[in-house]
Amino acid sequence: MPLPMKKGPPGNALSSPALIIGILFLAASALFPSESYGSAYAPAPLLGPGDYPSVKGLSPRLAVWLAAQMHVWFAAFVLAVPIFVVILEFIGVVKKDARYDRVAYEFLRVSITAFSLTAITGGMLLGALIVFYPGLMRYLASIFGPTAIFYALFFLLETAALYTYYYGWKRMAEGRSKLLHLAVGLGLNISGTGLMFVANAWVTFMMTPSGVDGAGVFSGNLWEAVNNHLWSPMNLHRFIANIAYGGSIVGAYAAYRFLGASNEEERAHYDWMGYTASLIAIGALLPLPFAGYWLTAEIYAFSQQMGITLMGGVFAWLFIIQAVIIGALFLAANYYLWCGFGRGAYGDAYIKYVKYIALVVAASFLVWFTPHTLILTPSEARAIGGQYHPYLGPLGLMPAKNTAVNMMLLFTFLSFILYRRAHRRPVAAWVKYWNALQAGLFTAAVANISFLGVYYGYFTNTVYKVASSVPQVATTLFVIVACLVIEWLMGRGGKREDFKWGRMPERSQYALILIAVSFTWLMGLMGFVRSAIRQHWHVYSIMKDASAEAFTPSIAYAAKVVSTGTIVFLAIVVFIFWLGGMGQGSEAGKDG
Amino acid sequence: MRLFKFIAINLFFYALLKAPGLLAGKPIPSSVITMYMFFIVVTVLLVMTITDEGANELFAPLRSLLEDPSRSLARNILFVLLPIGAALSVYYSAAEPAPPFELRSAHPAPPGAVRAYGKAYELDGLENPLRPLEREDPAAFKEMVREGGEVYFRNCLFCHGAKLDGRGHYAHAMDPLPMPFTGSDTIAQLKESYLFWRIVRGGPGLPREGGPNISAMPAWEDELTEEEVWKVILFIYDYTGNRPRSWKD
Amino acid sequence: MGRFARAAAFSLFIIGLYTFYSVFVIPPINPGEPPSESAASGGPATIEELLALGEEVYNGKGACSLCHTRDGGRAPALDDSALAAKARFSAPGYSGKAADVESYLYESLVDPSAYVVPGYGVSGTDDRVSPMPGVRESSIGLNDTEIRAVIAYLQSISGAEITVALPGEGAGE
Repeated sequence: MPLPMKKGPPGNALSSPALIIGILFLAASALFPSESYGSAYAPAPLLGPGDYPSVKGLSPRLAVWLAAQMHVWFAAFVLAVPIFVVILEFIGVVKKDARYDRVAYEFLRVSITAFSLTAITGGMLLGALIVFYPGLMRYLASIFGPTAIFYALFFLLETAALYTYYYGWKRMAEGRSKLLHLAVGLGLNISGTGLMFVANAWVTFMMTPSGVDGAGVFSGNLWEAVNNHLWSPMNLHRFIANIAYGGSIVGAYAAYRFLGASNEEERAHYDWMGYTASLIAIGALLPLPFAGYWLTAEIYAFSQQMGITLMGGVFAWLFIIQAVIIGALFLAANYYLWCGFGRGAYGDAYIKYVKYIALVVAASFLVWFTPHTLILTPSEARAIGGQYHPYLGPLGLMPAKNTAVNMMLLFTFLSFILYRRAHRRPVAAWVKYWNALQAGLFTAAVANISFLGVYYGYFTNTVYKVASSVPQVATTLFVIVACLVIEWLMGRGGKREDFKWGRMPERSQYALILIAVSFTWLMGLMGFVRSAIRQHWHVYSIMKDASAEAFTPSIAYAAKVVSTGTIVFLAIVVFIFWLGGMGQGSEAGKDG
Repeated sequence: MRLFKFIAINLFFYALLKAPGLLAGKPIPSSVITMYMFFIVVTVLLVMTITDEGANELFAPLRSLLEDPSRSLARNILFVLLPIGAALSVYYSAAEPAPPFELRSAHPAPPGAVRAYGKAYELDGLENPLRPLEREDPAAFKEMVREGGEVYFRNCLFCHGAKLDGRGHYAHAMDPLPMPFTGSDTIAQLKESYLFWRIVRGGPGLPREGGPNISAMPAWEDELTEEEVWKVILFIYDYTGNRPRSWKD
Repeated sequence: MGRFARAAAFSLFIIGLYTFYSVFVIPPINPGEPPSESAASGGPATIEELLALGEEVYNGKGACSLCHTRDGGRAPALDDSALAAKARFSAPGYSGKAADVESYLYESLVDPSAYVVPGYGVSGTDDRVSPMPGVRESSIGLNDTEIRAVIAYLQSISGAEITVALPGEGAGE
């Protein structure tokens, strides 16, 4: 495969740090595992405070934390963008619509600089870990040494595929070579995802170690260590979350360009781009809770203590924060859709329904973040007679929250249906009946979800409580699919006016910015708790953290660190976009 | 007037949240009301600003108040009233110093292992050794539950109450109140090993977030045998009709 | 620059809100400190830490100093215990298995009745039963690391050589 970077097209300077890091990884993999080969494996070392080098005025944990967080943010972004770039390119090929191809290329262009930053921050993370936590790294390397070769291999493959894919975009635009180009894009995604899976094995091993005995002696079966309790759920969760995250960042980029658009065409282009990106983001957000549920269930299966630390103990409030942010995401997404009614010719007719949707979404939102353990003043505690409120108490439990989430999903979907109707006027003969059917489906779904939540949640045994969420989700998914099919049937032959892209109030663009900022912050927070539930362990229950900073930080401290990280990260991203935008002007200016 | 409508809607919801406290004597905690109202105001604002016309109409009175030269008198009055209002609200909130909020996790995370009866119990895999009787020998199980009931009524009744509702004779002298076992939000959410830990170690064995120094629960390790503890656990589940939480079936 | 400033201000405002909520609104729960060295499977890494732990256990959790007092209480004073040990396990009435100072002290802690210093037995048992509870039993409940730390402490206050190996060094297991 010819590597175009050899010839030195503009911008290939970016690839050199990436290559250097790749070679570094190879070198590291050659250095570390050698000591354990052939010999029996040693137990996890017992470290003392003396085993951690200290640097005056620098907190090793904070350094590793921020480096890891930066790396994960960039990595999430650059792993996600190629996924939907390839999908968009494919849609463009199938639909023969050049608009998809163009926007796909722009997505990729936006993210290209982030690739080298991912590698650089990864190198910084690796360096910080080796310098500050040598004992831990030596132990992990004694087990995972061989995987570093896969890592390096995937890394080189990804780099090669990326630059071929990006620089070959214009050259491989026609006929056969377009298909080859798509195949390269697929290879890029496979190697990128493989890369993440390898790294996930190291991280999940630290949380739910397997393949080692109680003292940390490695059995020699590497696959067992890789395929630990959390590996698969974490792979899935990160894969989906990355897509949502990538979509949100591109959405924010489009929003920003929309706000600064100099003409109508540019406005329309970035409006469409922002809409597409946010649709990807929200679409990927919807299955995320279920992946998260699997992850949590595996944590509980591995250790009840870890599970309760996560959900019921010190970090219970963290999930209230999470609920608040996800609720804010839903509100923002709904607001963006509502504002989008104005793009369609028939949109005004639907604005009167918005307040009812908003009522349900907001009410579900409030239920969702109602804490089980309330903050009470002593006089309130006396009046209520205990920790649990007679009216609010039931809202704090999982069944209520499951019900609320399903309602939120369902009514967000309703917003979407109305949004679609804003530019379609079905003329099929059976419209009235189709409409009635849809309304019936919705009513039945709402009734079913409430019944399941209330009956199974509060009037039966605990075993069914968790189980009742499955039929609830099934109901929601069924209604979504059924309504989409009905929409499609109704839409056939109907009158359809094109959306007037660009006809959006500027306020709506801030919703997209909010989604990106909230995603970034939330990722940092959830990454913190994922790591923090190990408490004072490097490798949970196997290898203790004996450094001075082994204590678990409070949520408040973590929030400050995450906020700092978010600001730095977003500042870098803005800088990259600014660099990327320089000289390029707008692709859209030419073609709208 | 759109602005009045905005204010009226928010006031309506505020009244709704205040109602349980004023009418039923079960106030919704102020911390919750603050959060609820924040998002209610935001949502109402969002709904009222979907279209440009709506947004303009909503903010027009404010804009004219701030910018219209002919309304300088109203503006000046407002600018005097605002700081006075802020000062008054600070004054009244500081005049009656409120005791600090109670922050206590009723079910904190358990330790990995508990030391009791001269043994170490790994809580993770710990099951009630009497629980299998329920399937294998229902008659013996019933007997165990009955004996557990005896243990309960000799020891636990005084605080946790004859109906297991946390309202024993002594309950009213306690703060925090003893846990009720009825309802679906206490023992129904927990595994039996968790109850075992709470009973044998009591208040002194609680982690910090559980407020070990304010719970009056004794450590029953010294008073009850291991078997009695497991029996009483059987009893409180059986009596309240709850099932222990399980991640298996 | 107007739109950039506005977008940046908006983003900072959102981040600020989340931070404010997490720092000031939700209850400030501080997770507990990591359990002290003695409770975890790890343990002290240096002799100094071992001795510090031993002293702490001796006066605190172990409750040794309640009875073992200088001015002749219910139990013999221990400030020369490591030096006196050799005479003890070679004494005729000795029924235990210890062959050196460290194992003798270990045995005395875990199984106090293996050898009772004359005059300190439960009355009426002819100094065969010790009134001291075994330190592994629930009322005291020391783990192995703590017991070894106490032995090291006893050796240190007697002015004897400290033979206790640090946990993780493999010796003594």
